Amino acid sequence: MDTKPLKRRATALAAVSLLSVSLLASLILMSAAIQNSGKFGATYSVLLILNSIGLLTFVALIAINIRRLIKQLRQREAGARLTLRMLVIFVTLAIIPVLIVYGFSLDFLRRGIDSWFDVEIDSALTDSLELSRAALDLKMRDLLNQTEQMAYEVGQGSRAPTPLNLDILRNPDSTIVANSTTTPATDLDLLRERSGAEELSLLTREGRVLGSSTGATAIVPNLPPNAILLQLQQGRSYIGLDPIRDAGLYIRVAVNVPEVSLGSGRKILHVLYPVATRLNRLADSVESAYVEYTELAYLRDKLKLSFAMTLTLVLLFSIVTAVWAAFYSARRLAKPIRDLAAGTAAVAQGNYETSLPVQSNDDIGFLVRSFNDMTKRVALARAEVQAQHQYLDTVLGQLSSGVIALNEDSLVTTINDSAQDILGLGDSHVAGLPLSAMADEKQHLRPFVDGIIPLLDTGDGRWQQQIVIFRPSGRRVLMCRGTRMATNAPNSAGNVIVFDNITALIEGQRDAAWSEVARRLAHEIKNPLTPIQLSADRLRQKYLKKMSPEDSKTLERLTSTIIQQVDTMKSMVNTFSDYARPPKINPEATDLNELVRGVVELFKSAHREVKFDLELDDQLLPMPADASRLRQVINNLVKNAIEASAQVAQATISVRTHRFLTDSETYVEIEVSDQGEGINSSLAENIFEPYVTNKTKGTGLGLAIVKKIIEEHGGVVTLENNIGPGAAAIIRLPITGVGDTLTLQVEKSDGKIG
Amino acid sequence: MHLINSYQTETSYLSRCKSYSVRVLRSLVVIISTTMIGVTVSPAFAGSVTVNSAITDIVNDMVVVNADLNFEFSDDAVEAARSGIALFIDVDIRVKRKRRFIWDPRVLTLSRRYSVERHALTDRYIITDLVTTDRRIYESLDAAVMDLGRIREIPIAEASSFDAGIEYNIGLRTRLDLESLPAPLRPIAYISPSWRMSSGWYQWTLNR
Repeated sequence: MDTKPLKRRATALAAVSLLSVSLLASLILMSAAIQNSGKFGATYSVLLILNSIGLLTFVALIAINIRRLIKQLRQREAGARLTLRMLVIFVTLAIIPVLIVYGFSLDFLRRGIDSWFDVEIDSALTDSLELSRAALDLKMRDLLNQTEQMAYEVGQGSRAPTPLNLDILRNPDSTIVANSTTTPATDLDLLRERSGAEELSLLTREGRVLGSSTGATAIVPNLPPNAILLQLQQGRSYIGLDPIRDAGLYIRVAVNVPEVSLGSGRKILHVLYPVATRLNRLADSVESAYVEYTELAYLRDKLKLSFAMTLTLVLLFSIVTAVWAAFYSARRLAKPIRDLAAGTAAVAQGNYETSLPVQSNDDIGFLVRSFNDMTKRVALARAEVQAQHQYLDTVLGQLSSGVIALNEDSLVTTINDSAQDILGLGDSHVAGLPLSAMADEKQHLRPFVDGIIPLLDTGDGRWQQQIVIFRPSGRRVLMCRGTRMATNAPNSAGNVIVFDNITALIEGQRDAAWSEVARRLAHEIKNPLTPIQLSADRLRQKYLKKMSPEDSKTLERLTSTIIQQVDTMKSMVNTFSDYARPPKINPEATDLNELVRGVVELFKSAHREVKFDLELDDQLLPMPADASRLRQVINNLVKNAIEASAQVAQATISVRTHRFLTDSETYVEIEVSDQGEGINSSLAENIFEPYVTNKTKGTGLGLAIVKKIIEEHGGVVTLENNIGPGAAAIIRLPITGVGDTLTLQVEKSDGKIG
Repeated sequence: MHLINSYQTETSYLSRCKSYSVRVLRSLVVIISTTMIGVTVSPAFAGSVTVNSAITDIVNDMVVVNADLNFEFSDDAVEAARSGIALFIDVDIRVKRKRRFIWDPRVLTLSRRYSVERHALTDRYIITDLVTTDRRIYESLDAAVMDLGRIREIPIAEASSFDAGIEYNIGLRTRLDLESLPAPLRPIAYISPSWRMSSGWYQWTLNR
């Protein structure tokens, strides 16, 4: 069994499983990222992309599967409909519960997120923020008063201050020292320490630092933004809560220092007070809780959407994996059935060697095993049928009878070699054609076809008929028998036609009958002839002298006539006797050419008016034959030829011998051809039978004797008209095994006649 | 060129990756969201950011960039900021060496990142320069946004690093970083035009 598809399937399954697990992990991470855990927050987009790609991969896989299934359905492939049905069932079973869970989850999700937000929590948080602000406000108001007091003190004590060099401020290594004669640095430090401030600076109205004192945490003073300076220039003090760097909340106070004398210049006192650590922590806690809540409130819908999206991705993931799994399972389940269907189709097309792999031990495995058993048995049965068919073919081929089988539509299903041979069909293929096609193929079969067709559907289907056909090589008498083939189906009976060529049999019977007639005639007639002849002779001798010369003349004439006619009758009876006598062939080495030449020489001297044309084959070697009998044959034929040419002036009779060599046998052909009137077509059929002649003289046994002698030699004789004037007698004598054939025939004849 | 140090190359690589991933993500999110969820984007005011002007100057032998940007936050962005969500603004600067016929090679990229967020207790807005950790506090979001547009003296390299015979092209762009938004907000931010705030490259030639 090929393991490649199995391996490939396992790889595909592993890849898809890995993809599913990765996608699941990615979805879990995405769900964590949505909840803003910070850890996965940064990977959210990547996860979204990965999930989308994973889903698209699945969708593509499913699309490929759907396309393949549609193609299979269109091509009506085996198992495609079953796969579709199973797929629909699986998908329905998988999707409906998932969709229900999805719907409920979505609803719960909405309700869950909504439940986070509550008017009471909202107002509690706002209130705590307000409370924090109020608490700080109180502190801030105190600090404002305190700072204004400090400003007053600073104003009272200030005398023409010198501006601070800002370059010193930029240098972190330098310490800032109040460069004032009237407001020494120690005053600012004292003020800062007394007030508990973190940082205290004295600035000009434009923001230049006149003096400053900072705590341990910062060296560079935190200067107020321009907006605050602008507010102070408008005569309004500033107090605010500032989140400064990571040091927490500070209360920033900036107040104008009251002018005590003209020209002293307007100054600003800028103080940063730290908020108490506990208060700071509480305020920070309230603030972050509030911010988190407002942020969540703002993100409420987005959160719902994101969760819904994640849930939808999970749903889609579930659906696509389910659909893919459905495809996979359906195809796996349908595969043995598909294989079975393909196997059945293969068996239907005649491929009985089909064997399916048994992949499981379940019911389908049992089915596959049964299928394999079935195909094995069918193959075995077919082999038997083929063997029988072959056997039948061999038997039919060996039969000398012709056999034609016709089906219920009268189409030829079987025709054996003998049938082809007897009917003269040659190499024509008539199997599968109607019987009438034979007549179209060979015109001489028309009587055969026309004679048989009406008989096929008559009576009980059994019939017998003698039919004569005229083949170019001669007349054939066929004895045909037909019978209806027995089949299980009542209306679908075929026919079998068996026929034999009984031409030779009939001729044999006829010849035997004639021989019997001749023998009897000879026997019955020959006996009274001699007494008649002797009586006539005695009558003449006794009464001739006693009669008057006139009477004696009459007697003389009458008795002569009797004696002459009796002689003629004797001669005739002898000929009959010759014809009827059993063959006595004495084979001896005979030179046919010499024999022919001898006979022709005899006739040449007797018939000088006829021209003899001899054409003798030099390669003809002496062959075993009865020379005297063959001489009679040649004699009869030449005589016939001379008689046929009697009316022809300057007639030419040609005698030809020729040695033929075919694949199977060697034979000699002797042809005697004349230029007479030829054979009357009405006589052509029976010309070799006794008393069939177109001559006025003769016994009518000449050609019959020729035929008899030639047949005794195992040869054949035919008489046919030439293309030009006249006719030709053609004798064919086999050379190989002539002696055997002769002996055999002599023995047979002996047995038959004796 | 020796100006490219490892930090800068990394920054440029990361920024490229990020922009690519953002593009891919955006297209994917558009497909998925429109097909599955059908988010309706409200036709509120869409935000924009433009670079009004940008120039280079030399201060204490350092080439610095001064730029005036005009931020107009969309209603959605303003609402998010007011709800306490921190918005991150990136200002990217790149320096390219000008060449004829072939592309200009990038010799330097750097990025400044600012965050804008609301301090609920004091109801103020704080802009933090995430590179220098410098904080500025504003009474209102408008004031903060207005001040955010004033980019002053971002040092890019020592003046001596720039070869005298070569012309340099400097580009500046600013954009709202959507990847820094809270995860639930991101899918909408990717598909909503009100969050699509990017100025595109503003370019000028370095003058010395």
